[in-house]
Amino acid sequence: MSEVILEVENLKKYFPVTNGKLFGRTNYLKAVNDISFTIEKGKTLGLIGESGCGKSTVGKTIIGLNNITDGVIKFKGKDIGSLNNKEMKPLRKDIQMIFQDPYSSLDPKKKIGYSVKEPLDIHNIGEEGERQDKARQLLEMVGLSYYYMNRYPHEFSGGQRQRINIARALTLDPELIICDEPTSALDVSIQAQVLNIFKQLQEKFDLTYLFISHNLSVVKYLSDDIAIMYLGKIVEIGDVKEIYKNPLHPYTKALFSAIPTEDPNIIKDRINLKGEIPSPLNPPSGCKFHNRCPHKMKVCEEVDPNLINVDVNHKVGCHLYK
Amino acid sequence: MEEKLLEVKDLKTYFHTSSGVVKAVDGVSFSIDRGKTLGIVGESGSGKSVTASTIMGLIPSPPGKVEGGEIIFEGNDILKIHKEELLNIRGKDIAMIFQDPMTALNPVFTVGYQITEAILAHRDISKKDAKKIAINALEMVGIPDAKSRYKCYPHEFSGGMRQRAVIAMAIVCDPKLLIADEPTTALDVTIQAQILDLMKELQKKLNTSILIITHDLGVIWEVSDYVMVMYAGRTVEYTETKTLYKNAKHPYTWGLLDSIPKLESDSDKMLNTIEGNPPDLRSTGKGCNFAGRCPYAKDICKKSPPKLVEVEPKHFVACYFQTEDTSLGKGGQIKNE
Repeated sequence: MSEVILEVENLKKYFPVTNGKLFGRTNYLKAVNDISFTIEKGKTLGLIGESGCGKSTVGKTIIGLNNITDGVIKFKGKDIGSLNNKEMKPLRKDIQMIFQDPYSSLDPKKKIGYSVKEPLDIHNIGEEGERQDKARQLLEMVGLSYYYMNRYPHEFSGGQRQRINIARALTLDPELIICDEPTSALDVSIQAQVLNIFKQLQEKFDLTYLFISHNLSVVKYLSDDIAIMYLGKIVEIGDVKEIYKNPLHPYTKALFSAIPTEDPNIIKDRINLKGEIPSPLNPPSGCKFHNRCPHKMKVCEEVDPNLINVDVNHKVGCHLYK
Repeated sequence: MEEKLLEVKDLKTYFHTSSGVVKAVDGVSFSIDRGKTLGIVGESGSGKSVTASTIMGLIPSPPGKVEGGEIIFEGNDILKIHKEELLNIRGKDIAMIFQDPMTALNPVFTVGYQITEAILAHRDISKKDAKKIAINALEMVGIPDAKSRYKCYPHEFSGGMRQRAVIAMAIVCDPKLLIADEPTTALDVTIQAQILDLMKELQKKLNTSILIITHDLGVIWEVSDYVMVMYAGRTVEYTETKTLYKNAKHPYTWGLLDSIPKLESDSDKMLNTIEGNPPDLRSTGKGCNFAGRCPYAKDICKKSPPKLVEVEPKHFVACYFQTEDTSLGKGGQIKNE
């Protein structure tokens, strides 16, 4: 039994939305509404969903960029959700994040050697020479020569910048890396290079990833477990191969069927969903998916289904399975 | 007998910048038959959008300039015809759908106004009739309650609905050719599936030819009959979609096909990648543009650019190994094993 590194229990993150009037009513945008999952050491959990489903908010809340509204986040058994900035600082070493846009996530005025070693300065680790050495080693590990250290971000392509971001995330030897759509701004041939780096580094350092993406093929390639989110809730979670072979939730099925075919000779049977995702400010009652679901029953309008176990490592939140 | 609607021959569009001449499109040839779909696939900077903009006559000049080639639309070279004649073709016979539905619509006018504007620009009919046609088009692209939606502003529409409105605007004048530049890139997969289905349906109904530009091979497999692969401003391979999937010939196409993570494939293996980065478009054109990243490159590849040759019926490849030295045919077979 391997060690559980991240445990999220009943996490909620609501954003207040006012209507602009002084004594107007405050509404809450329930970006993340009661989700739970765990990640074991050295494993990858893929978090999938369409825009607006709250997947990025989950990542940001875990790393402390958002305050939590309710729930518990445990990192190696320690509750980190309620820590203040000062208490959180030593833990930031262990949890790092890689963002989607490689263009805005590097300081354009700093040489990349500086950007990569800066985390060591902040946490006051080692001497200047050692820091430089470490930055050089990291850049070489992600396939960039040491002489790039004195260049500025604008001299690099998107794929190279994303490598620099990966190197910087590794500077402090983290245990958990939250990757928020790290390849969606890249071309396919460059995406493949970056995905391979993720895989190699995981094997080398026994890293744990929370991999957030909307691209199912990418998530399938990297993940051990996947969780599918819809309107702030996890609708299905479990072993990636099992879910891919046997998706149960109607939304998961529709999502899988919407992926463009991988072979022009095979025409997929597509489950066409009606309409689009409702606004999270005004979500439907009961099951959040009921107004688009092809298998809607009466109970779906009234009761929000809980996640239930259907297999050893496969949970689904749908009234069809009971 | 299939009839050619559009034929592009050896098109070259360069941009003259202060740091040199950027050869954005440097020798692209293809044709589209009536009622068929051609997909152009390539990575960022391969010149696929510039090709589309050149056909539409949307290249800003300066710095852009069409340096050579022909664009023959229904028998006329549209690079040579008068500007006023081009206005009659553009928007009417050739319509375009852009990538970003957020910026393709004007935020201060209603969706309905913008669609009728397109109709009135090309047809001599009353505003009332134009409104009827516009509402009809909105219904055709699947916008519910089109009559009241006609009066909405773009911000009241979601991304998928905006893209539907943009498609409605493009089809109101019954175009013969529809150019779609990354029409689904900004959309989620379930919405992408809806839009692709809509485009296929409209094509059947209106017998429109479609030129679809994308970086996503999955989209190509879904909608197109023919596919052209572009790399650094040139056509590297051009054939039927199914042939490209089964029997690609260019090393770049192999790399592209292999580098996509597949749902069926074994995730324990590393992905095959194309090493390196695309070349700087200011310094291309001396040899094969892919030579710097090609694992099979020889001396000749760096000296002169390979020509696009028909290696088997309806299959064009620009690669020395497929046209002169056939030894790599075996390489292709190794790939398939």
